[in-house]
Amino acid sequence: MTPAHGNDSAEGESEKLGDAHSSTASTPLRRTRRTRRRHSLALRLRHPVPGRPSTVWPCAQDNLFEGTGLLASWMLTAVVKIVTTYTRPGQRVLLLEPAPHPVQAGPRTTNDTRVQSRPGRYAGLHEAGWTVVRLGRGVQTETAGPHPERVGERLDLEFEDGLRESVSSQAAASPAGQPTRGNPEPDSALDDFSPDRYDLVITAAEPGTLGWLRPANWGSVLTPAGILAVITRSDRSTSRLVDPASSLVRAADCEGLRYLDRITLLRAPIRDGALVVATPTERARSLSPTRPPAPTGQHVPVHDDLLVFSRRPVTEVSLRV
Amino acid sequence: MSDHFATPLSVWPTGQQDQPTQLRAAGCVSGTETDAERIPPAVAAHAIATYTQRGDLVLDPDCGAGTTLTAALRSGRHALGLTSDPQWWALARANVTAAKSAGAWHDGSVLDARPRILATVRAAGLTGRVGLVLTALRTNSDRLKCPDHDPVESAAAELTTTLRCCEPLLCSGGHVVVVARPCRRRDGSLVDLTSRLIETGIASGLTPVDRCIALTAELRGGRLVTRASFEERRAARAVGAQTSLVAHHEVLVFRLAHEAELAVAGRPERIDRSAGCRTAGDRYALAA
Repeated sequence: MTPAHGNDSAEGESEKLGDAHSSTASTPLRRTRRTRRRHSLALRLRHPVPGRPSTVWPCAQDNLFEGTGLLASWMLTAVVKIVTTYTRPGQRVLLLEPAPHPVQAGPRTTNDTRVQSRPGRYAGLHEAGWTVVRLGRGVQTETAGPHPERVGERLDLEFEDGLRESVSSQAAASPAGQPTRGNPEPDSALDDFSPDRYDLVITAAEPGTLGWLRPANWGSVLTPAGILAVITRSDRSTSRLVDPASSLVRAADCEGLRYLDRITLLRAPIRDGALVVATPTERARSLSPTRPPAPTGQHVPVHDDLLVFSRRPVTEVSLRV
Repeated sequence: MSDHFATPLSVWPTGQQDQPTQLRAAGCVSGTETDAERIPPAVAAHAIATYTQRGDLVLDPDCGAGTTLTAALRSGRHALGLTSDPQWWALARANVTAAKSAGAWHDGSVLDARPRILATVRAAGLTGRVGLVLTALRTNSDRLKCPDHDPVESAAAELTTTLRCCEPLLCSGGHVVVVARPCRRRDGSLVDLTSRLIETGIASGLTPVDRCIALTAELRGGRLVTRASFEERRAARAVGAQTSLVAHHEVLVFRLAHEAELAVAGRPERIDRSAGCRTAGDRYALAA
């Protein structure tokens, strides 16, 4: 900022004032309760503690231009919020994306066997890897699929610029003592996860996909304080609401994971104190092509769910056993 | 509040006012705030405006202090509530009286009875006439306080019985809406309320058709402002550093099983469950 003429510094002003009022010499303030409180307040402002999150997260506030990527902008915002809420810089994050499941293209006839893979609502989770790296976390991405010829893909981004030292020191201090670098073999099955452990595992899948996405042992993938975050939604496409939480919570409980939170991810932006819904054209475009129209009498879904699990404390697990 | 929302969203903006302001605006009498498990007036008003029309009958089989009844009467619906707690009965009666004093001319009644009475011959006149059953999952009820049982499981079992009694009372196109506030177990883990409520509805012969989020946080400008009390913040801190502050209520919507099938097939429901009952099902088909 350009200093104003004749007003160079606040200290100069105080000196001048001191000369003019030499009789009122400044005396140090006594350290009262109020000054202590001000001191602690100043410290707190200097080192702000992240606020406690709520169970509803607005994720569509930013006007991000749609690029050529598959990842929806609200998903990217959600991933950033998950990473910053549940991890610290230097910790390790695994982005686990299910392989695109085969869907039918167009109306099917008896002789028509056109089946192709189309990106779903949660496609492109791996694209968030670079953003997570920029947040100072180590990232590994994994693709999981139900087919034997599952496409395995691993992108080890941990040794990106500026992250080498921090991640290496984190690995040295990790209680598991495992190397940070992931298993370079690209074709390992989910059940045969490498011995690497992650502080945060993020996955996003449709309710029907979660059945086969579930690995045999989540606990072995997470550090003792690790978090599993699953982005999914309730399925309203049939006459009966299908909520994925039931089977997921049960499976996680069997694997020694604790159901920590269920967070609502808002896909509609908040503008002027109200939720803004996209125009019908935009909404139709954002919907999955395979999704049938919503049954009558239902609300327009503007949210997805984030189910958060943490590992149970060792004492609690031993008691349960 | 308008009766019909142009675009009903799965997230209800029902936290624009804090609870004391909501109670004052709804004309509730002093003491209603002591019912900690009440349905917030804004949530009740939103559900009533979405799922019923003027003149419909709204039933709360466990009405507590009667916020549901007040919201129904103020929006031009008939209201019937049941409670076996003398304290809540007095408050619910006072709230109904206050609503009628404020100009509501529809019928409003509070019965000092348990929901099981709805399955007896004394409730035969209600069969097929209820447009909306709107109730809350109450885990702190005195009759559920048993040291050997999980309060949520006991409350869910009680709710199953209640909904089973309410199911024959629904008119064609009627809905059952259950509101529940997320809660935790002693070890800090979250109770999977959604799954438990869905099981409850299915066990009662209903079909779950929708899950909505009723906000208790305020949408202010472009932000979401959480309304958490000091006690709630302290409780969240005691549970752990990673737990979130509750900013919503779970809302589960049920319909009669055959009507849910018809709604998906795109056919309007024309099945009268009792003589003289209006058909209310095809108003959503028009919207589709």
